[in-house]
Amino acid sequence: MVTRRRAMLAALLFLLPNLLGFAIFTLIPVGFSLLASFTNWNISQAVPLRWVGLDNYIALLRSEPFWLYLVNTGYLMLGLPVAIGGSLFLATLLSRPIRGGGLYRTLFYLPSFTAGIALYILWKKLFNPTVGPINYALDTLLMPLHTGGEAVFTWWLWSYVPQQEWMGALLDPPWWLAWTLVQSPSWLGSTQNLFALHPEHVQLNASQFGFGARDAIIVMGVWGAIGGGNMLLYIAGIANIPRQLYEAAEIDGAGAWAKFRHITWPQLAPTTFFILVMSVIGGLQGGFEQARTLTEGGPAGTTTTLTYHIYNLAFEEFKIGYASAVSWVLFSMIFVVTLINWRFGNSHVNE
Amino acid sequence: MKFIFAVIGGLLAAASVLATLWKPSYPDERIELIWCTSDNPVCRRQIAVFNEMQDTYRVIVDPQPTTIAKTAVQCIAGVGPDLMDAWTPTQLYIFVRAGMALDLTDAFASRGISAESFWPVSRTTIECDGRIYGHPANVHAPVMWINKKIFRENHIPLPADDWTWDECIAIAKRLTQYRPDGRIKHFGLVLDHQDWRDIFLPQFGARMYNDAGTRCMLDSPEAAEAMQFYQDFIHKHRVSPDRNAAMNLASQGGFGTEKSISMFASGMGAMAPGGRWWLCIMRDKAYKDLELTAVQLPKGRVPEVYGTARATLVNKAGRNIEGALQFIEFMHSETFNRLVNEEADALAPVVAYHYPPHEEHFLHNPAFPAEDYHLEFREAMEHAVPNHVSPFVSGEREMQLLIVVEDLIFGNLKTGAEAMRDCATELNKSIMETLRESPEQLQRYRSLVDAGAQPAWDDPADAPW
Repeated sequence: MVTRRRAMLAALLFLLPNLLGFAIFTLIPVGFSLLASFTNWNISQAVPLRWVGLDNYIALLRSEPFWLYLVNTGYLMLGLPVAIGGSLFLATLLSRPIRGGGLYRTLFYLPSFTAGIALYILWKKLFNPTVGPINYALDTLLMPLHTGGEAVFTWWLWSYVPQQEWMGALLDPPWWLAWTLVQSPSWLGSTQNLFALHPEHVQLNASQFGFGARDAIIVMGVWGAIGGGNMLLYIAGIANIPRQLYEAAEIDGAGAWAKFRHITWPQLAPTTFFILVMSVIGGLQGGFEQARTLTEGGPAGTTTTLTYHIYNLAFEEFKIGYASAVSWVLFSMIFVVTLINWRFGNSHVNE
Repeated sequence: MKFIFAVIGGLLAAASVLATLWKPSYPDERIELIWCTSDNPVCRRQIAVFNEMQDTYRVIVDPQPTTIAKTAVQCIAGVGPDLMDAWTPTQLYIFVRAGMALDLTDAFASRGISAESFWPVSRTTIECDGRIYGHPANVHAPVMWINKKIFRENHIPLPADDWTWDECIAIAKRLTQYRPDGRIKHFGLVLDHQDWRDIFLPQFGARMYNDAGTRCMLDSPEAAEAMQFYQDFIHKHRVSPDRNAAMNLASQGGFGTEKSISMFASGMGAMAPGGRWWLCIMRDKAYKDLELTAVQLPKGRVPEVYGTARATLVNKAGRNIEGALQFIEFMHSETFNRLVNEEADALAPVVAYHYPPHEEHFLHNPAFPAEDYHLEFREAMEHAVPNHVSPFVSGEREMQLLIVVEDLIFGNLKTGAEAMRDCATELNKSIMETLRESPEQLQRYRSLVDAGAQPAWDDPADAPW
């Protein structure tokens, strides 16, 4: 008994530095922020500190910017399925016995151990609408489509549609439809998006359809995430699948797709579940560094995510109480989404 | 295992003892003063001069961008600097209201520094509630920069000082030229994103706030007209860079944050409204072929532009207040003011150093004999007025709203009238929010409204009292 107690004491002593650090730098500040969220704490206006109850929470639910930035956060998470699918695809390829497999793994993992800011600055240059290589490549690809589209549309219009006066207006300015569809995007300078979301209100606006800053951040995020930690997790997961399952399937005449669908995918379900949960948490918390470096939350606030909003409220507007309330709402959302994932996703994993 | 832990523990302890014993020796034993300011070569030279003159103190820079978040958080945490900068009046209000800035009124009086000696535009960045909290580090008023080479190549005479905006548009149209491959060769006029505020608002007789700062006035017809005029340069006359062209420059970075300087300095603009401090960049060897001159901005309806100032404040909770005050005194000295003028870090804060007997020093720098246009900056400063501010609006909230407005205007997503109306609505809401939160501000506001100032609301029933 004494030995056991002594062992416990030793273990606690070893854990103490970590627990102290956790308590001082995480637990106490988190608890403090919860308290702060019920106050009007604002350092910039000499406002007397007072308890405001749920006022901050009510105010944020009524605040249009909060919903706008929540939509932005959700929009930026659209890249998650692509990133996860891409990681799985890469992992499947790299799990095959190919020459230089280690080199490829390192190369694909490279973005994960490169400083984020350096990558964002690089992408900023890549997304330059006039001299950036992305639009240069797009322009080169789209030019035939653009001119070809115009030719086909003209031919169709003049051949099959009864001639009307308004057609002249349709052709001047030339081909707004074709132009919208095949013009290279302004990327980081544009408020456009694939859901045609209005930049200032939570509503749709047809003129906002297209590629813009949010999509640019998604593209960059997918690029970074495909070859990152998720790929390594999938590679490890694939390595743990018993070879006998594949051998049995081959004997039964299963092809590559059938083996993937009936063996690899179900066997990787726990890994996929873990990746999904972590990605959703990361997605809800994310977007700050990218927006700060690439767009400063613009244009017109379209890349401002909830975490960026919290930063602005706390450290630009100095509304510490209100910012704490937004933080706790974000935490609650993450908690609920994770619970839902756990409840429904876990049952699929176990099936 | 125990042995390994013991050895590691012993090694760490020995390393700690060694580190304590080998305390690095500093080059001197003077007391360090920390100044949160923009870390640039000009500032470093100013500090070097102060440090050379000092036996007791030595200033070092803690880099601070034009936003004050970092400094404010440091001050709250009790590890603030000794000196810090405010770039705008609203930043000054934050430092003062949060009790971070030291009241310098008495220190100025005891050191023989008079606020009357500064350029008038600096008053709003150093003064709050009738008390002085800072010393201007430099002051700025815009002129029109001209690329003489582009004018000469196109056989266009340089504009006279009394030219109009119509003449400017006509010249800009002629000087907006494209290369055979369709890419821009140079724009006629490179406008900065905040020129609508600093130039067009005052020139059209509009203003951000009323005199008392109790109401945002951007919903006036004059403000709408000013913003539309600005927007037309980009989208109607197409003589100024649009969003794509601006994005081009966005990735180039550079000294300060002004993308238009890079564009103008690299020969992609024939004209650009800007300040004397642009020379800090344009004197670089990279731009040695740039043939420059400056003229007054074209005349608007009202012969005014907004001037701005950067002020240096003393941290009330700083550890070396006496040292910080000595640095403030240095900022008032002939040495500092002449240095600012020499280095073209905008204009020196003290008016006297731009007129005889110092005039010659201000007008001609022997190291840059081609710069024969410094008189224009003094003339611009003589006509500049401090911008209208409101102590009832959070400066950062205002900045965020204005950035959104500018983005929407740049993207041609709103007309000038819509942008100004919506912006005024939001800023007036922000004023009312402040009044709801702060009884002290409410009291001050009410006394101003009772004295006749226009409130932020139209319906008296909306009054928060």
